[in-house]
Amino acid sequence: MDFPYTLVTDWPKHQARQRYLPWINIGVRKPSTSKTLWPLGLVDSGAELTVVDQEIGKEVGLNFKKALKGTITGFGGAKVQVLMVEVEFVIDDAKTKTPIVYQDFAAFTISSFPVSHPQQTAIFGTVGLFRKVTKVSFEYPKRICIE
Amino acid sequence: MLSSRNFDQMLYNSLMTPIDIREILKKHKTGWLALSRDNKKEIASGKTLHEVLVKAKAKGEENPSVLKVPNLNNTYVG
Repeated sequence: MDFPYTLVTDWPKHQARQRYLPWINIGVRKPSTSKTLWPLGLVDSGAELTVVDQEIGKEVGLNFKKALKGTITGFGGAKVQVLMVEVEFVIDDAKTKTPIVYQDFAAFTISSFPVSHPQQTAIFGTVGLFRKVTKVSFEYPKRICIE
Repeated sequence: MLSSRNFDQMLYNSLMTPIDIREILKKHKTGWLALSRDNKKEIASGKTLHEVLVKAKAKGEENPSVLKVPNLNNTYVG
């Protein structure tokens, strides 16, 4: 399945600059339910975990009572408290007949993403994406291919 | 000499159409957004995800793309 890059504008030194970012929609839902949310998140081969804003977890009805609590660290040392639970992911480019559906763990932030982080919704990493699909390739800035 | 702006435009024209959310993001500094599933159109905005989902549903969009307004003043290295 092919997904285009997302085009945004940022403002380094107050000058407009166009950036192509590997942001795509991947569906997230509670296993064995149908209510699916479609966060526009960062596909990040350098992330060990998939991290999702807690509001998404609450909205799809996840039960965090038995979640594994953890702390994750990013480049620069920022620490974020998360709750790990199993969810169902759906990858669908709206052109392919059968979506890719699988269950894996996702880390939901206990509060929001750090405000300094450009991506505030979801980061799709090894656990939650890369280890569950056959191939993820980046053809910058044209497309991200997931098989 | 090719200016930065011309280079951006040339690159843009040569691609498979990217998801272009520049105009949508220009209008928002914080909060949640519900977009059409192809990310071409803003459906709703609000302080919470729940609020934008309710608004989107009222407008007939049951399964919108959702996005918390990003902070694009910083560059990410992960």
